[in-house]
Formats: sequence, C-alpha cells, structure tokens
Amino acid sequence: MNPELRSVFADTLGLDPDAVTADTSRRSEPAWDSLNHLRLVTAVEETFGIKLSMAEIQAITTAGELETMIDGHDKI
Amino acid sequence: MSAAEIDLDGAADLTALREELKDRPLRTADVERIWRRVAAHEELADLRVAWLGNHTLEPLLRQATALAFTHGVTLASHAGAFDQHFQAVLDPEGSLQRFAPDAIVLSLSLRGLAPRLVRGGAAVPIGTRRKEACKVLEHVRQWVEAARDRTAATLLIGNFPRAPRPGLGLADPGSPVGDAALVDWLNDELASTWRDDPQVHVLDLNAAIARAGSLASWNPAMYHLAKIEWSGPGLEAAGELAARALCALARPAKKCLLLDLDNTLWGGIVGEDGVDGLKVQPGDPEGEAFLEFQHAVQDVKARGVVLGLVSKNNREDVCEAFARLELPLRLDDFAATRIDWEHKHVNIRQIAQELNIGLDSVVFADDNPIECELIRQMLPEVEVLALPADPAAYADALLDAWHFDKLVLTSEDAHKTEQYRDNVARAAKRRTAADLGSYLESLGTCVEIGKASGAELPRLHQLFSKTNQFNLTTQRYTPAELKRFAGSGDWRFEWIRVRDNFGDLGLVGAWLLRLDVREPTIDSLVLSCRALGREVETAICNHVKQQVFAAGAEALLGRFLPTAKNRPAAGFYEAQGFTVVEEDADGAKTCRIAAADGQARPCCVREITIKEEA
Repeated sequence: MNPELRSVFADTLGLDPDAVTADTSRRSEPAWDSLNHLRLVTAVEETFGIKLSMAEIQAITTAGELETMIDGHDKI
Repeated sequence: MSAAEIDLDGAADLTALREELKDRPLRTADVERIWRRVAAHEELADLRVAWLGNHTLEPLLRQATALAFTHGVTLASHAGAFDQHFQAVLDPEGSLQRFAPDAIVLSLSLRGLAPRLVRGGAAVPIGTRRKEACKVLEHVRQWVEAARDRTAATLLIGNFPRAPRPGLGLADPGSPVGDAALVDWLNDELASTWRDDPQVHVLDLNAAIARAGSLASWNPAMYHLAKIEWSGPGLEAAGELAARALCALARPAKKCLLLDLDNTLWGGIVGEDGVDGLKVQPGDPEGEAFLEFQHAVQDVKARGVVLGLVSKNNREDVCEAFARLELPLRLDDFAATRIDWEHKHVNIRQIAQELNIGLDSVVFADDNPIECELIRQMLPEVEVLALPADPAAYADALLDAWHFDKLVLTSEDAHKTEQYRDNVARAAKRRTAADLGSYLESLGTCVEIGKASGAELPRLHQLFSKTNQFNLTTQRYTPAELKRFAGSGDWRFEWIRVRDNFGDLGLVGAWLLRLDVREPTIDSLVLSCRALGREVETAICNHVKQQVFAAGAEALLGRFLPTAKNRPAAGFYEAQGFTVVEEDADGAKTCRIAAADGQARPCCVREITIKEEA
C-alpha cells in the first residue's frame, strides 16, 4: 500500500500505521465514522493534490478502493 | 494509581505534546492528535466551550481546540446537536446545562436559516428578501435573550460571511436587497445590538472568511454530504478566529511590549550609521517598512499595551534620532526605557519592576536571534517575538501575534502608557520626598465614587477578573452576574476613579456590598495595584461605613479569603478598625465593625466626590 496513504489513514483515524491495509474498511474500523471519512477525504485531497467527486466520496468503503481511485486521478 | 497521579500524568502528557508541536505550523494530522489527547483530559481544561449552530461544527471546534492548545490554552468542547441551538439553551436539564460552559459559540449558516436570501437571486421578490433578513436578525436576538436568561456563559456570536457567488451576479452590489447590502446590514445590526454588553461578543467570521478567500473556503461536496460550511482555508481562518477569542477569554492579554531599536524600529545602527544614515522615512522601501512597523506598534499601544525600549546604545544618539527624525513613535510613547550597555535580561527585569508588572505580562520584540534566545533562556516567563528576517514582514508579525488580543477595549486602554509613565514619575518623587506622609500629601490624590451602571461594566469585569493582589475574596464574577448586581436592590455595587497631580489613574477599584442580610456585608473589594499605597482603600472603607451606618445598620461585616497572591490585602479589615469574629485554619476570616466604632479613619485623599446618578 502507498506509504503516504497509509500515514494519512493512521493520522486521521488515530491507527497504528502497520494496522492499515488495503482491507481496512468503513464497516470494520470504528474510528472511520462519517466525520472522519470527510476528514480523510480532505487529507487525501491535500496530500495527493486531487479533487474527489461527491459520488466518489460516497463510494469509498475500503482503503484499497481509495488507493485505486487516487491512482486513477489527474493532479489538479 | 491515585486520582492525583492520574491528573499529573494528564498534565505531563499535554505539556509534552505542546512542547513537541512548538514552533511549527499545524498540520491536519496534528489537529486530530491534539483533539484526542485534549478530549481525554477534559478535567484539565482552562475553558469549557459549547458549540451550537445549524451547520456541522465538529471540524470547526477541532480546529479551534488544536490551535488554542498550541497557544497554551486547553479547551474542553461540547458540540450541540445539529440545528438545536434553541433547544440546547432552553432545556434546563439538557446536555448543555450539564456541561456548564464558560463560553458558548453560536455559528449559524444563512443557507440553512434563510435559503431564499442565499438562493433564487432576482426571482425572489424584494420584500421577501428584506423579510428574510429581518427574520434572521430576530432569530439571533431571540437566541441571545434566551441564552442570557439561562446561562452566565460568555456568548460568542458568529456574524455572516458574504456569499462567494451572489445570486444577483454582477448586479448584486447595485441592488438594495443584494447579498452585499443585506449581509452587511445584518452584520452591522449584530455589531451594534450588544455593543455595551460584556456577556456578548461578535465573531467577525465575515472578515475571517474574506481573508481566507470565500471561493477557496466553499466546498459544495462537503456541504451537501455533511453540512460542513467551510473547508480548507476557510475552516482554518474561522477556527483561528474562534481560538483567539476563546484564548482572550481564558487568560489576560499581555500588558507590555518591549522593543529593541536598531534594525527593529529603524533600519541601520544609530551608533554606526549616524542619525542621517538610518532607514525610517517615506520614499525608501526599507524605510517605509520600518515606518509601517512603527504604525503597527502604535496600534498595539492604542489597545492598552504599555511600550518600553530596551536597546544597547548611547542614550544621546537615541535622543538625537527621536528629536531629529519625524517618526510616528516619540520617546514619550514609551513608559520605560533602558538605553545602555547592560544585558537585556537585566534591563527587562528592571523595567518590569519599575512598571510593577509581572514578567509573564511582558512581550519582547527584537530582530537579533541571539538576543531573542538569551531572553528565552534567562527569562522564560517573557514571551519573545523574534522578528522575521525581512523588515517588510515586521508589521504583520506583530499584528498577527495573539499576545495582545482583547475582546473589548475600554477607554482606560487608550491611556495606559501615560498612566504607567505617571507611576514611574510618582516613584521618582517618592524617592525624593522626606517621609511617606508628606509624599502622599504631595500626590494630591482625588477620588470619585459612583454606582455601577452599564457603561462601566466592561471595565469593572476586567477589574474583577484581573486583580490578584488587592482582592479581598477573589470572586471572578461573570459579566452576567455583575450586570445583575448593578441592577439589584439587594446589592450595592460601586466603583472608584482616582487622579492626582501626576495624571489620571482611571477607574481602578470596585466593591460589592450585600444588603439583603441582617448586617450589611462587603462581599468583595478589588483595587488595581497601580492605586495601592496611597490610602485609597481607606477612603473606600470610610465611604462604605458612612453609607451603611447613616442608613441605620448596627454593624458592617467583611470577608477575606486568602489566595497565593492576595497577601497585600490580608490585613485590610484590621487596619480599618474591624475585629476578626471568625477565622478558619486556611486564614479565611469574617470581620465586623459596630456602628459605634464606625467613624472615618484619617487618610491622605484630598478630595472625594460622589457621582450623582444619571
């Protein structure tokens, strides 16, 4: 997993970086609540210089999906 | 582990975190870390803050909590339920009342409150737009009334940012009911409605969002997904504004700014470059930057900050420079100066003594990193403002500093330097006077006493919250409580102004007399340290005795509660002829004087006038 994304997850959700994997999901991770979801999006947009659409923001359910989404985005 | 040990760990934990974050900009990840740690140690908070409104306030309160934390103030925060700001204050047993806030921040979104003001543009009839704006104002007014009746917390009301894209488009500024016209009208009304009310303050969110950029702050996805009103720079700016206001509530502003001269107030070194070689004049880019900084220093002075000079120079050179150059600042703008070759930490300590202020009230500004580091090491209580490398950035560095933040300026503030300078002159006089009695006579002290009313409340609140030394019971009354005392027949709430041959000391003392008890009781009495040592307290006590005994009281009671700082007031009642009737192991005592013993005691106050009630 992208180390930058891993540290964004760890920082935003207060997790141990080693505990963050592509399978980390909204369903299984209690700290990944709706407010932290938006904070995560903001941090990702800031870190990777991209802008996610409303549909994309709502679609993300796992760290792996977010990583794929970032890879497919052009920098703004 | 005992409770005390847990507290100690919490305090140590927060101190370590604060140390780690020092001197670097705050990142998104830091905000979350600080938020979690602070939330875990709620009992250590300096101020308890409730956040209410009709948009999602969690991002704002986390941002504000994190920023306040890095500036030394720990907040305990409580977020009210979305759009339930009325219910929150009205419910006597609700979570807000249980939280017992010291301050409540109210931030309302026009999008939620008055959608037809924000959307629809020209399609919305003019009358409807006007009515919507009136409704918004009425909504806020009613909320403030409801909150004021039910809580003593200070109310911080956010005003309304202009829309980034007004519905009337280019025609907006020309329309009497455009976004510009109506939002400005609303904000003017908010500013004027509570201007003299020390319990209510307006947060200028409009200016904060404008500074951050209203376009950059608006993220429609965040709003539609979660009703988050501001993102990115807007969130940071709104968070900073709230944090500064809350820090200003939590602790007193710094009282004194000490400045270096060479390459601080002017470009160049007067001892080497000569007066004519200094850069501090219009027409020269560097000179203009230093002029700009001097103007910023004047702004800070006008907020009630006392100025001082600490410079390694020959005094004659400096006097010549101030005499010959046309500078915004003049030598007599400084209440105290040390222009010599002594170490700066020695001089700073002396100035603090001379002005009778604590080192923790002092900010020192210098361009020289070595001097700055020396002061940090030698006088850790002093706040150091290390000026940036480029003089063009000096003025902004000073104006961006939080040290001098005050939510309200009183008329006292505009004359602080003069008052402190007069005190220094009085001290010089004392050294030459033969004995204390003749010195006190030579001051020619005159006092005026009056009943507290609305106009003096902000200053009176300042006195009750800031006076430590001559403070008999150290009751930190809130603005709401003081207002109640002023209007109640059960209390007599009075103040004293002092002036003498050297100048006006201003409104320096206040006391509360409790009347709804068998024997009238002095509940509290505060006297600013600058009015001590001249028997003003005796004049106050004579006045109170005269009043209660003339009204037929058999005796007058007084309470004293000791603190770490109020020893100067410990023997007050005994000195005024009272007898201690009750004293506990901690030194808290009740004193009493009977009407028969209640004659005035001699004091050196030349003249006492009683202000007639308006």
